[in-house]
Amino acid sequence: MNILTSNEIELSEVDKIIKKIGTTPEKVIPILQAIQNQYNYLPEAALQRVSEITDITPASITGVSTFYSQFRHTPVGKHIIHICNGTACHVKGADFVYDAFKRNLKIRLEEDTDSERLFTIQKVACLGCCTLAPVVQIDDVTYGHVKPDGVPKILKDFLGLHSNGAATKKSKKVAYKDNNLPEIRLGLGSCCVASGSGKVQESLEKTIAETGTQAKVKRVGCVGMCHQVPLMEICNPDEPSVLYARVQPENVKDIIQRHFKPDSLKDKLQINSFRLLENLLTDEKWEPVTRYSIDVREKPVANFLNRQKNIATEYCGVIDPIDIKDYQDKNGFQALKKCLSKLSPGQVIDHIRESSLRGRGGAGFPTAQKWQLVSQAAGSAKYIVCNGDEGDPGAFMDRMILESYPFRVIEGMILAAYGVGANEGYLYIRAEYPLAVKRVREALNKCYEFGFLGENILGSSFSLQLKIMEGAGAFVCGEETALLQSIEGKRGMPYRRPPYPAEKGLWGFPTLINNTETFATIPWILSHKPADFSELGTVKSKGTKVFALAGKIARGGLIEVPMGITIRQIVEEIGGGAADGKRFKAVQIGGPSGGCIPAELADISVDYEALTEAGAMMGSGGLLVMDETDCMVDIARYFLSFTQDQSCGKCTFCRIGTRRMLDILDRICTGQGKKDDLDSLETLAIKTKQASLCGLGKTAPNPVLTTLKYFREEYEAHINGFCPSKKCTGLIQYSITDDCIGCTICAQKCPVNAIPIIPYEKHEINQDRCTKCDTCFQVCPKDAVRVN
Amino acid sequence: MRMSKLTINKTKISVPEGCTLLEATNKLGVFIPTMCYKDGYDNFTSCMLCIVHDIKTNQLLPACSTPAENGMEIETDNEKVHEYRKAALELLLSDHIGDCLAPCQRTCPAHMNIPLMIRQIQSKQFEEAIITVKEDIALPAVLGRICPAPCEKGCNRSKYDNPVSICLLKRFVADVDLKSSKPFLPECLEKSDKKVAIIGSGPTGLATAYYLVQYGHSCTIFDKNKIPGGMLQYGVTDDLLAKDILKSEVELIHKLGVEFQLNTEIGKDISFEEINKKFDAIVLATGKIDSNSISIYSVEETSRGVKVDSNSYQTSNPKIFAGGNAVSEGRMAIKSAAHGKFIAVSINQFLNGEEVTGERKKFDSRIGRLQNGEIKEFLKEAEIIPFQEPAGGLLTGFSDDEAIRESERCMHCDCRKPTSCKLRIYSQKYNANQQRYKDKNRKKFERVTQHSHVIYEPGKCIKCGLCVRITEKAGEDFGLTFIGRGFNVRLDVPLNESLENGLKKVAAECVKACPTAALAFIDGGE
Repeated sequence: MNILTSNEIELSEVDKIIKKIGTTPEKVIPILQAIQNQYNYLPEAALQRVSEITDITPASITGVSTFYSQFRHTPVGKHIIHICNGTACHVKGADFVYDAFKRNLKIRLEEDTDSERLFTIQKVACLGCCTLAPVVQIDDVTYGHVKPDGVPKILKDFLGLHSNGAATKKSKKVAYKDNNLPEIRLGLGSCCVASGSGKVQESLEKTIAETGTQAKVKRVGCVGMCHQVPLMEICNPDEPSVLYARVQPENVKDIIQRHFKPDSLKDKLQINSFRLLENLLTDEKWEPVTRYSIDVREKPVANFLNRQKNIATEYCGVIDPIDIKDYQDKNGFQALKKCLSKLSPGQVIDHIRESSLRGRGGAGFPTAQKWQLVSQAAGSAKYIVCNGDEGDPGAFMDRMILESYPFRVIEGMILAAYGVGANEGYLYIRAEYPLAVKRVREALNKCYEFGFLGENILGSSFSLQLKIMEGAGAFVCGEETALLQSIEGKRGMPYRRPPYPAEKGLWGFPTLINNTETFATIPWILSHKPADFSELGTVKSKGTKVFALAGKIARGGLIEVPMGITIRQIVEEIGGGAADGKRFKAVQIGGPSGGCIPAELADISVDYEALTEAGAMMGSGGLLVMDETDCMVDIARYFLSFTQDQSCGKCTFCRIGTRRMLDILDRICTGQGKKDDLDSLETLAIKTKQASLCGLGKTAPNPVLTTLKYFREEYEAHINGFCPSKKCTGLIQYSITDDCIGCTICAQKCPVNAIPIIPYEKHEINQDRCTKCDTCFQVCPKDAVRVN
Repeated sequence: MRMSKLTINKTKISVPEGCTLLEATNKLGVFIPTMCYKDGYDNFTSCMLCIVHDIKTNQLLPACSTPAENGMEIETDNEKVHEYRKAALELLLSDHIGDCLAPCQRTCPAHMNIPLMIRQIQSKQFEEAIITVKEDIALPAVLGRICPAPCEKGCNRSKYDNPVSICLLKRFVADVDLKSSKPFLPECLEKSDKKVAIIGSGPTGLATAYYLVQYGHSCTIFDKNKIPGGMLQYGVTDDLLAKDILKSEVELIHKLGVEFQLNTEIGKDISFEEINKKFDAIVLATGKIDSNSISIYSVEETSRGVKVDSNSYQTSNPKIFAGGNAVSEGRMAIKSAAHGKFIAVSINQFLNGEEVTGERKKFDSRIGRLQNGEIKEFLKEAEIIPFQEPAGGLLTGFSDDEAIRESERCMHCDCRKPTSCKLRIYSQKYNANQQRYKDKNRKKFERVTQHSHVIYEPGKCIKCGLCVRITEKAGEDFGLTFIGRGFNVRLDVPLNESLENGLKKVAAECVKACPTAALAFIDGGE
């Protein structure tokens, strides 16, 4: 591929894009997305062309294209390396990985592309594969559990794949003898896909075709056990089903042969190899590239699953995400049929009111009350919007729900639209979630095809048109007024409420905005008695809540639990406690808007009020576990640097206040903190919380305020010049103890040659060269590397 | 029409539903400061200066966009409101890359408006230039010859080559004036019935008298010598300062109505008691004074001289003021002359029965030390030519052409909206401290000079977006837009067009609406 300069680009492509998408001002984001798809960036000439032949103003083109992180204005390398900078990745060393890629590709400090223009490196907010942290995506290949010294291998692997990737053959179809066949269920959530389930599927189809195995391959959505992906489950009617974890393409044949009788003698002989497989599966030897790694087979998963209650995620791991028939077989659209034929819109709202459902987007506003406001608001048109702009680093609930249960979300929206009288609507989905967009798009098409969307749904007088709006990379668009601005083709800058969107929303019309998870619970509630829902949970918080459990936890993943469960139960019983035998120190609930709750307070229950009282918030449901090795000042700085970066820049307190807080934290983390910095930080945090315009600014100080409240002594330690968790690189030094046996492993792995390679002598670290990348510490077989 | 009933500063008010708090307070005549708000345009709620306090809910609300609602109990000026407005200003100031005063003006002890003088020279407005000079310096021809020119040490140009020769330019302006047929005399206010005795005719005494008579007060200068000028007359050699220059400037002061009583020593030729009886205020501008002499005036002293308040120059006796070397011995005549100007302000306050504070220090935003590359931005408005000595040597001073040439080296570091900038006005009002949130890393000073009559300095922009709204409403082809987001958001012309193309129709409206000097007229009209 040649990189064309602005003068050389073929503008007819721009004309085609515009012809397809339209020329009106609100089309600016889809047009820019299409142009970027075409050219890999936004060439100046293309933007000029847009301004010439559409009604979109230059101010809008430049304003919008520079607001959203998705858009690039300079050409990029042939491949793009996305380094996930989500919370889970951060605590697991994403910065070291980023530095390692830059070093390996010899990319200069202020640049992002290597000299051969082969790779462009970019940090991204969150890829939503938190259980595989640290995660790196090169084009469409995802690598999990990446370590800095594994980077050369990854690059080699990627380039190898790339040179023969296109050669994969399509497997032939199998002729099934009957329909009552065993099922081989393969997880196809993003975590599974990211960890290579696509390859597993290929291998599976190939194996089945070659061996003539009589079994059906079924794609299922997220199973929730993202810590063990890719997952494959063999469901043979004659025997208990077996779940395989961390399946790799090369294991597939063995697994199949273990469960299904081979047809030929040759295959029979090969079945013996399954002994070997057993060995491989229990080999815990770590390989830097997890795409190839083989790990233990999952043992009973009862602990993980038993405390859960699946409502939004009903039929988890069982249902085919985009098979509308499968959805219908599992009670799908029953609630819709019932409501359209038997209940008035008012009765639908009453039913929701009796269930006491509160919005799952964070603030917990009573859902029925919002619906009532929209239904009563005057307007010649009304809109419905699904907020799927889950931007929290460390959260992946919306992604999982949209990927795994798109029909349920759509059904929830149809029901809500019926309740409030909306006939048009959008699903606003993050552009970083391509799989979710694809699945929802397919699901929408099916719904139109089957008459669940469009004119006169199921023969009723109710009509609804739903469309997808892809976000373009702006966390602030999760704020509802910013989200509406974005749909209207503007910069996602929030405005002051009231008026609330319920009265004056999209294009000035009454608009219902609910979170993805809220919509996903609606069909269940409406197909059950309200009390079935309200008897779950606490006095004020009813039902269940979906959490993305990640960080330093043994069993991370997507869980749905009844409200009122304690944090400790989630962490210790469901999640199996902190990973690697470390001590559970704190949880961060609600992402960058939430707060840190220390382990001592982990017995508080999960409900809106209790969490807010503790200084955290439900948020959209990110739940990040931290252990004793995590520095709370660093965590606060991490979250603040995220919100600071995501501030739209409109109001003074958020734009500059968050930045100045970050300045102070930067100073503290690099050992330049002063005694009065803590007070300045706290007062500024309180002011920013009080006086910012929108939710982003009002909640951005929470991680700082809660860590100051619960871990003040850690801040004080930093001011006194040391980091108790030995995380802040400005405050630590690496050294080698007398336990060193002179094996030179550290010296060989050191990326900056700070350790001279002298065999059989105690190694020394040259402090001037050391970048504190932690590699020596990780590779030393004798634990002879100390961090002071 | 449905009405909302609420209280504002404990006054009950009823306004139509949907009316904002700002509109409601306007109705009551209660003033709320705003920067991003403009009548006739959608509110944007960015600066947060209009914050008010709802006592009932203990919430802080931006008045410009919060609808007035039933039952609200709004306070617009309590301590909390002030605290938050001040914080908003301090945050904006921490990111404000602009000097209110040019460094030369700041370092000049008399704070003379040097950049303005230089621009007047540049455009050959020599008669206007002398007015500018004499606004702050009573004896410019004298000081133009003997001043060590601290202003030039502050001059940013020295970071590129040599400072602008400010002192020579000032001397040039003063010389042109003295040589003219009708040298400049300022207007004086109508005569008051107050009389001031000034003891000593050195730079402090002369300057005090020069500014005090302009307020309308009668001034009498007492000096023990037979020729006025003090150290200027008796302490400076003739080759540095030809005495006829001093004489001409003293004569101008005399012409303004100042009386001189020479050959008169206090305590010898006239008693202090007599002066104290006859005059409403007394200035001790005696030059270096010993303990014995101070005791004549029965004012408190320090080890260095007469004890005064550092702002008002008032002594322990309220009607007696002191300055110059009488307060502490220094070497710079300009400092002594500057004291005279400040004392005049204080005495005027005293005589008018006002609180004696001295000249109120105006809020002064500072860029701080220039960083690499910034000098290039400043140079965009200067000629890149080296300093040239006057053809006749330094002692002769500049000719017209030489002065104009030298004036073109000035980089216009001062703010173009020193009096109308809202950020400055409110920072002054709320006593904001620019250093509170400053970080050692700051953005770079930038200057966009692509427009025929508008200049854009992005570092001064507070991102209120008024220019975006104005250009959008006016249907400018390009207009201005926000670029980027968050802390690094900036305002600029879209699609990399020039400022000239961005502001074709409503440049003037944008400049007038811009709450700071981010957008300003090149010629500085406010």
